[in-house]
Amino acid sequence: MRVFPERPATRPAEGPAAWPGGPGDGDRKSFRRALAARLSRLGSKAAAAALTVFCIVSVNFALIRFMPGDPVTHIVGEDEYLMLEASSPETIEAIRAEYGLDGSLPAQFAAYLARTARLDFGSSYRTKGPVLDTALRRMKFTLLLAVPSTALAAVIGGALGLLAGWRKGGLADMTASPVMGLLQTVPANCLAIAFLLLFSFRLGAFPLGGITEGGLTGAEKALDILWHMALPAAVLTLLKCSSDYMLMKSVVASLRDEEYVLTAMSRGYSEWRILTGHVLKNALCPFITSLCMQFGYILSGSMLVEVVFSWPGMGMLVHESVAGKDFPMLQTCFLFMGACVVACNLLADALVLAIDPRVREGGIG
Amino acid sequence: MTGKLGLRPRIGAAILLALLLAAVFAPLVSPLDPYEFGIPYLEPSAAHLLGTNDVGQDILSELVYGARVSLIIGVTAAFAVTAAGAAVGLTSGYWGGKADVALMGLTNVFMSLPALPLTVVLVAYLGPGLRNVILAICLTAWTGTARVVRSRVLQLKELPFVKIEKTLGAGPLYVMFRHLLPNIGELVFVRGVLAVASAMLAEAGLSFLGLGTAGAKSWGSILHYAFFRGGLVNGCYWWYLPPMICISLSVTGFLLLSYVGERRGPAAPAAGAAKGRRADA
Repeated sequence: MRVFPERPATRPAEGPAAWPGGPGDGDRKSFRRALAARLSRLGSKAAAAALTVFCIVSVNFALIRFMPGDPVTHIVGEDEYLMLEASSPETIEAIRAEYGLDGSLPAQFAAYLARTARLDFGSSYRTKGPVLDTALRRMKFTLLLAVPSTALAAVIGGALGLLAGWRKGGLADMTASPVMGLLQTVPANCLAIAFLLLFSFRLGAFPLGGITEGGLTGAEKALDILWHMALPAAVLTLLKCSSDYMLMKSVVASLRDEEYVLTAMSRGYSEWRILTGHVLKNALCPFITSLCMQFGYILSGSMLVEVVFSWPGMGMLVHESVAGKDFPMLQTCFLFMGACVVACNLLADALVLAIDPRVREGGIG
Repeated sequence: MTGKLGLRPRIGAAILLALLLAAVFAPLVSPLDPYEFGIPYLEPSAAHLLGTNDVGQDILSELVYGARVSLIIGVTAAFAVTAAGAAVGLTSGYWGGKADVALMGLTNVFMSLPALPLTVVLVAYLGPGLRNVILAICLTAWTGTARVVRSRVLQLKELPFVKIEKTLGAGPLYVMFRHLLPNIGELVFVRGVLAVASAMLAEAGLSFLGLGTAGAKSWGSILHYAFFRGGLVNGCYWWYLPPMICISLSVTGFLLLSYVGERRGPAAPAAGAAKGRRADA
């Protein structure tokens, strides 16, 4: 699901506090106090993250149990359930016990929490294999696709956004804005299909999908994987790039009128120095926050792209699990994706605490 | 929102009006019954302006009827989401204290839930269908609006007119509905318009994965069949291109419309905030 960018949540503070490298550096006592403040803030953020994970686990627990009908139906599928009910009711009871669906609800919940804490997610009903192994393997493939795309998009989108926000109506703004604006309106699957059509079907330059031809080893295999991931990665990069660009541009445009920029200008600093030393430094915090939050979503955001290119990642796994009614697998995927979003948000908080002197001093927040 | 509209919102409104008319008068506009079977894989011709799909249904008619489902889902979900988000944001921002902590905690939890997978999981459990798709989209989409509205209310709360009202003994509900709500009206409208766009994208994604409205035609489901039933391999451009264009065009329409009141800073959505100001000047 695409979320259109908002104004950054952490808006730059007004007034003298925004001066980079302002007062407060120096003596040990204040340093220690600042460190303690930072740690306690991080601690409360971590507690909130733990609570969120707990909520996700609870949602997972509740989903299968509070849906209409016998929960076992959701595990084995409706047709098979009816068949089993007629032929061997004891099998149903066995499945119920295996997936922890017997006993009172609180007892079930306790057992479920204990199993989740041990990372014991049971076995997939479809493939009979352990859910955890499959999910971890698929997650690896998604990360292989997502990490380079996110990094590349952040650099390209961020740099272009910086220039476009700084010079409204300048070259970067006039050329990049229409393209990025157009990208905002194209659904991920449509862009993916367009790329697939153009580069794979028409030009035959790239494979139709999958991750590798198989039977290759070493450097050849690595090259083959790179060749396979070129198109999906390009689509993801373009889409991410457009939202990074929009965000950076609006942040920089709002910073441009700050007094410290004017001051720096009147001191005769070069434009490059003001851009990198003052504007970028202040724009980085909201940008990093949004980047990390987005990265959490990329596990799910790449879902449509993965399906189009049959890339065997997390999104494809969810798609297969839905089609195969593999609910234990689906639940685990959901938990992993949720945990990833939470972890990335926490990472964003930690990074901002580490790099922003204003937050470090406990000034704003 | 009154007064002269810029060029952008006007174009957006025109696109949306055309779509709306097509959707409302679908039986009159569409040349054929979209559910009627015929000769498959026909290329565009006078009889079938956009050709036919794998079971011989007229694609132009499918698109016209698809506009109905896509718009209904988009607008309904956006309405619910925006109303809920605005209510949470208003209450949280104005009341403050424990209510604020509780509501923002809830918002943060829902914000951390991965939206598309949750939607997919929910629809997988609940079964496809108009109501379930809307429900699943709504569940996670209200959080952004709640946050934006809250921060705007926090600013407004400190302004003299609210403080005076409070001093005069006005109750919180009165201040919220009589004074704060009109002031965030434009912001809520813009958020609502953006919510339609993102709900339509979500629906298109769900339908593309085969989890949309079972039976009813939507743009996403046309694309689903075109992709999974060989429209791509057979080069039926008249099958897969039109739904893609329709989705993008309507999203563009809503995004353009969201520039409606872009004169001052805080009410503006970040997407092209700087551009909007220039267009209105």
